[in-house]
Amino acid sequence: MIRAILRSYLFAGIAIAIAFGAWIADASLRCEYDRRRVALRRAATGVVLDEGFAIARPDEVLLVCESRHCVGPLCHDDLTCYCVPDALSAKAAQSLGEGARCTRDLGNECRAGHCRDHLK
Amino acid sequence: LTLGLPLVLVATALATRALFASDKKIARPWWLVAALSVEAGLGIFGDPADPHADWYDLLHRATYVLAAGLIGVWAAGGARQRRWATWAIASLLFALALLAPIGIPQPDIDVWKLTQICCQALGHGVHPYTATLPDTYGGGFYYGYHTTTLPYLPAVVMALTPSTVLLGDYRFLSALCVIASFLLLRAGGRRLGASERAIDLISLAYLLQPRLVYIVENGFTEPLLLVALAAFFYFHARAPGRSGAAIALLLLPSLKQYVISPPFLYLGLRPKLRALAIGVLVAAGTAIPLLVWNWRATLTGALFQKNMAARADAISITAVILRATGHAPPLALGIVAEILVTLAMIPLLRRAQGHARFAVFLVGGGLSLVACFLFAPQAFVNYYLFATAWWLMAGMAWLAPGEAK
Repeated sequence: MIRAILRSYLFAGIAIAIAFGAWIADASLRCEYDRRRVALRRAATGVVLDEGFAIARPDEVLLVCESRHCVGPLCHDDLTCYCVPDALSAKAAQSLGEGARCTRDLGNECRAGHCRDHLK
Repeated sequence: LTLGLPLVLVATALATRALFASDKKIARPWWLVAALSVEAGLGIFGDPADPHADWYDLLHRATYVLAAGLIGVWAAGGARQRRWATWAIASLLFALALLAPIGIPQPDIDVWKLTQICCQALGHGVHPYTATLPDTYGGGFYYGYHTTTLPYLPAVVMALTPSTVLLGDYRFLSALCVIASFLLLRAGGRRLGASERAIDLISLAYLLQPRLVYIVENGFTEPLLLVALAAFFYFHARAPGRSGAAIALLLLPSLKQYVISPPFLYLGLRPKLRALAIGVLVAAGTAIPLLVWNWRATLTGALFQKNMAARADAISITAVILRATGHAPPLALGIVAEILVTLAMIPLLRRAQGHARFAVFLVGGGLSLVACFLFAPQAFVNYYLFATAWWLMAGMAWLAPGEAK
């Protein structure tokens, strides 16, 4: 009985390990906000973000932010747009973690109001 | 999409092949027990819907941790321990589903908000399709359409309103649907003569699906479909071709727009004409009150899905095409795929006999739905979870003894 229970936990553990590995690989190696990838597009087209479902609300401003993105043990830098209530824009970088830097989007780099997410 | 689409394609092929390659015996039980353990593992890994209370997150993971241990008890135990372990796992998951509306009182998803408001409106005597619906996301998200129209069919609102009025949240009924579907699946298996081991295995595989409780948490409408499908399974097992089975099956297209082909495939099981007529009347009857009340508003809501833009975050071939080309294939492609698969299943259905014919019908229904989802504008985990239920029920029918293949 004990062996069967342990074996069941072993299979569950293997499933968790595979799912975790796939999640890390997908979220970090294929991150669409990876700074290196976005910087190339920005240099070529002047656009940081022009797709996705999140868009700025009337009371929000768009910020272009660089921040550290860690998925499990793998980390890289992100460069993308965020929607932030105007009143909170000065503090927005803090919510993205240590070392994050944000500037207002003055050059329409966040096309058509697109942002990665809404910061509160 | 990167992980989900390959998983759907591989799982569909493997499940279909495994089902019909089997010799109606559970030959390698450890593989099947491992599958249950993997389900529990993915349940531990997966987050509950947001925003959730901390205690619910803990309960969610603890449920699957305990379930993984109980699977071991089920695998190694005798008949009595197997029964005990099965009902212990079931009780844990029932409790989790019933607590979902308390642990996640306001899920951050338009499905729940729209449905809840429309059911509340009907409870107050307001036509649900004329209710004023706020944008759930306050204008902060745009999916190619505005989330201010109830896109579901009248039967959904009619079914969920009592729970909304009496209990404050329709998801309590969704949880009860999950429980009822589990019980009906087991009762159907018993009616077909499947062994207790097969009944336990398949019903646990159904209940341990890592996203089953998640669809309750988010307020997706699939629990209604699951209970209707399970009722069909039970009634067909009890009295094939009679009105109970016909009513349950024909309720499916009155609950969700994507169930198009299975009622036509059902003709292959040769139901009685009178049963079919009753089924059609009941299905139509679910829409008539709201149509008579305000046909224009009802039709606008019921047909809203045809206006929905394809989603690049869907788990579908449509999403792959959309990402690659910037254009989505036409809406009709999903329907065509569903019909083509149904047509391909007809010769197989004719050739099969007895319970095997029932199994072929169920696989055909599941395959036609997956074909539709792969080419539909939208296809998410709740869609595929419903398709999975068809395979599991097919497995139960296939494993039932006493009938020629």
